[in-house]
Amino acid sequence: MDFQEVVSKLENYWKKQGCVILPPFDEQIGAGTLSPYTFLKVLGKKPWAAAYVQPSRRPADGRYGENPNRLYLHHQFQVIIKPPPIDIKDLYILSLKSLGLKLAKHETKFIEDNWETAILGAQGVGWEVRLDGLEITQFTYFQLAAGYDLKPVSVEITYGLERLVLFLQDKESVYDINWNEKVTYSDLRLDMEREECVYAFDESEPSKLFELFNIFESEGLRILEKGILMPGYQYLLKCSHIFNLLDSRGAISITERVNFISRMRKMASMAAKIVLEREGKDERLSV
Amino acid sequence: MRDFLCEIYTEEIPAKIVNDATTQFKNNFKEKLKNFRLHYSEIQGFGSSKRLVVFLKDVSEKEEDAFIEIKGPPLKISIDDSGGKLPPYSKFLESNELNEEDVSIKEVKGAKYIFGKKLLKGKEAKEILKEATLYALKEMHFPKSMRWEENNVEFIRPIRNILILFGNEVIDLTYAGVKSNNLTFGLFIDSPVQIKINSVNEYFPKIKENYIIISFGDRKKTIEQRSASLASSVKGIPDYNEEFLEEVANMNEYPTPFLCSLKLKDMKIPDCIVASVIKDQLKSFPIIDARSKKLIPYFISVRDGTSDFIEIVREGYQRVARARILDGNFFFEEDKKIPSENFVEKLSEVIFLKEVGTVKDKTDRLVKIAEFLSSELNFSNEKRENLKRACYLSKADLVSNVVREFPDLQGTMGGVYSKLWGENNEVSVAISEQYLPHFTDDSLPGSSTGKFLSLIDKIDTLAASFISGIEYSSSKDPFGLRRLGSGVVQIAFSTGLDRLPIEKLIDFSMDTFGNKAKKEENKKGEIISFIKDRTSAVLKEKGIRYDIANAVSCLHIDFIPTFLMRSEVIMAHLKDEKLEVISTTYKRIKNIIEKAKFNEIKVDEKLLFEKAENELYKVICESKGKIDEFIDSKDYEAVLSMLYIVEPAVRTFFDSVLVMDEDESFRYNRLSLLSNLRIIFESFADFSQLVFDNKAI
Repeated sequence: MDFQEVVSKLENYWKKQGCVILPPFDEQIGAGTLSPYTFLKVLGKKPWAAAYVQPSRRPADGRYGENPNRLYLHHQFQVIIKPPPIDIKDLYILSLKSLGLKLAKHETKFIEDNWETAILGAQGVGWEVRLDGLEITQFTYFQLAAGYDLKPVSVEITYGLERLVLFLQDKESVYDINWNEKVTYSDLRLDMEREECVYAFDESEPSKLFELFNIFESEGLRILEKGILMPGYQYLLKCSHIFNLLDSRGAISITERVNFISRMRKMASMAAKIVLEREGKDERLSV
Repeated sequence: MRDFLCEIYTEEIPAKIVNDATTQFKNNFKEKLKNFRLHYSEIQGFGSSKRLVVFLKDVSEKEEDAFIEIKGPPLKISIDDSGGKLPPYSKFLESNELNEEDVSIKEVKGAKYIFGKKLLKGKEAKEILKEATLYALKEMHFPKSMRWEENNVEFIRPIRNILILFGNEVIDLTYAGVKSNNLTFGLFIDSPVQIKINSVNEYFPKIKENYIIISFGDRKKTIEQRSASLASSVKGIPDYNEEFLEEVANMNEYPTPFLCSLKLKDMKIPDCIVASVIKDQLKSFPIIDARSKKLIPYFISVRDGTSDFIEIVREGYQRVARARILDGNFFFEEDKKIPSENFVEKLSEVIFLKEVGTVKDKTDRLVKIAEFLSSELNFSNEKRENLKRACYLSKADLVSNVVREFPDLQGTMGGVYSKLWGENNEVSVAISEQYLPHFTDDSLPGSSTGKFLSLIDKIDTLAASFISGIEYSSSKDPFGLRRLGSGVVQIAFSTGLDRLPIEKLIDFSMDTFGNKAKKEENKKGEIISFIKDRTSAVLKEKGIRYDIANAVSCLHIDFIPTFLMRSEVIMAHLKDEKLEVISTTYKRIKNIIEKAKFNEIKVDEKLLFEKAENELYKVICESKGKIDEFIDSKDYEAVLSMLYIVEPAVRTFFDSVLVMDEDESFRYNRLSLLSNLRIIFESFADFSQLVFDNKAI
């Protein structure tokens, strides 16, 4: 099954479960959790159900396109539902069937795996899902965001699309994946992958990046202080990406790291506060 | 009489928690049922990754009736002299719903009172079982609970179904939004398999038919037996410990082990990377050659499910193993290009503890402590240099690519790299052993340099943690301080030394923190008493009775290396009458000296007046040198026999000489004699701690 086919099958499946299908949020994002469609929506009481592809940039994982499994940018398929349906685990497993998998011929196993995201003050409890030993999904019940106990909790399901497609196509290198019948992953991504790495590891200028971080941060804080949510939150996303670039360049010392994280955490908390204040006043669904 | 069964069906419980959760659930039931007079013949608990089960056999329909006696008003205000019933009497009857025939008169402390015998009707079993179920669920405690539904109930993982049957009757209750029923689920093969259970006796056979092995013991046995035979088919044995086996057995409801092969051709990948991928990532068992203990290119995985289509599952596991191992090898090749100095320098970018700096700072401290310890123990030049070098390189692997990918390989990879860097065998072996022991009864560093590196590292970490004010308790010890402390003790035991300058070592170690430790004067005492605490704990784990552990733990901390041997000698002589005698004698000596607040030891021979004190003085002089010699050569059997020989002279002394003589000079001289004796006894143990008459168990 082609990469693009997998995406559309998953979209279709979760559409039938009542999810809003969204285009990826248009910012450089490190993980599906940081997307405003997740972080800002798990706060508060209003129901929410969405699914979207999230291209995720993790500069430190980049290998100039030379490693068959490690990527500067990979694709997550993110499902986020609040409150979680009672049969959500079965719903998830059955989603694999929609990809043409005959479950009786395979093994799915849920192995304890909890996560924390320091800059978001977020915590989740759950599992990594293994398909015949291969980790294909993170399945998590979100417990905490911006330091708030989430009531109700949300469920977050993150499929690692490259891993999943490697499995379905029986390939050993991501670059051999068929995106569709004619185009491979390599055709689409290899040059970009190399260039991103060249920039991140060799050509980026830390002093410029530090400057950018400061500018984005101060503008973000200024906007968030005025209670303007989305433009302000987007500056946090920019900061987070700049931080990741600096980190992959080895330009951040330990003391600075703690400091940077708490600066971003502050922006995240301000954004969360705006979301919660608005919820009190606004009766519409959070969509 | 009916059987009772409750099954809590959940999403996957973390494998390491399953057994504890099973026990808690059963014990909570048991505890609650103790409050009732409800009879049952047996209680059993079962657990797996998806369910916790309690089964009660032959439960009565009702709680037994019982009578209680209620004290009423005094007789004189209840019944008058002519036998007439007064108002307090009838009020008492009325308010307690009693009849005339339930009443009796009893005397309490000389006064007569009215008493009523009241019938307590037994509750229905159904009600009690419902109460017990709710109690058992609410009173479960986990290291990390979660919430998932609107009532915000906390549990280890979401509860998705509750089956409660009393015979063939469902006991109704709702917990965490789930209403009880008589349904359960079998192995998920292609879709959820719902099973209806009509009565308790159907439960076990029906879930078995649906591929659920509910007993941990059965799952474990299946895995053990099958794995052994699969491994022997390729002339090897599976490599796992008990803890890991337990984890795997609780990760699968229907475990089916299968053999996988590693197709790595002739690549030179360190065994530890291969083993780590197999164990930690794939939760599978490496296979080793029975003789050489070296890995052979196979491993055993366990499928949660039947053997149908197992070749497809095998293909998947093999592919993941291969990809991860190649990945690890890629990092290994990268690391090989980096010189050791670069690794060590990079440690200054890794924080050790926020309050006390980086791992590089720690490395520098370790080298200083190594220097100090080497002079204290008169190490040869070669030994000193080896230890310092091992300390210097000990943490280098923490910034290697491989350890970042495989954190469990810290130390082990250090050993591999240091060989590549051309370090000698003593140094590289020491580095690979530095984190041992990981738990009680884990293997200890085998090399001498490894032992001292491990000891120095642990003492430094303890000092750093105490200075940073890190808290620990029996339930919460996030930094594993207690494990580190036990490690110090176990290593001390294994040195074979007669003493180890632990106090000075702690002192010196605190000094290496410079000003940070200055304000923390009292921390040194805390560390010493912490290590002593751990000593008692380790001794107890090694089967030493608590009072004996206490008796040797009273000695100076520097004698820790000998504590186990001393304890074992006392343990072996517990049945000796003489042991109790010397304990009593020693107590007497100690009491007299402490009461007199006396601490001189100089005996003036000219003042030895009585025959018995002369005798005693002679015995002391003769035995003292010998006992010291035996202590130095750690011949504790001989020390004890010497004490047995000394003791009668002490008794004769007490029988015929008055210690607290009116004459001050006699008195002091006799007290000095006793002080000398006290020192002799205490060179072995504090015998006053021993408990006799089977009082200690």
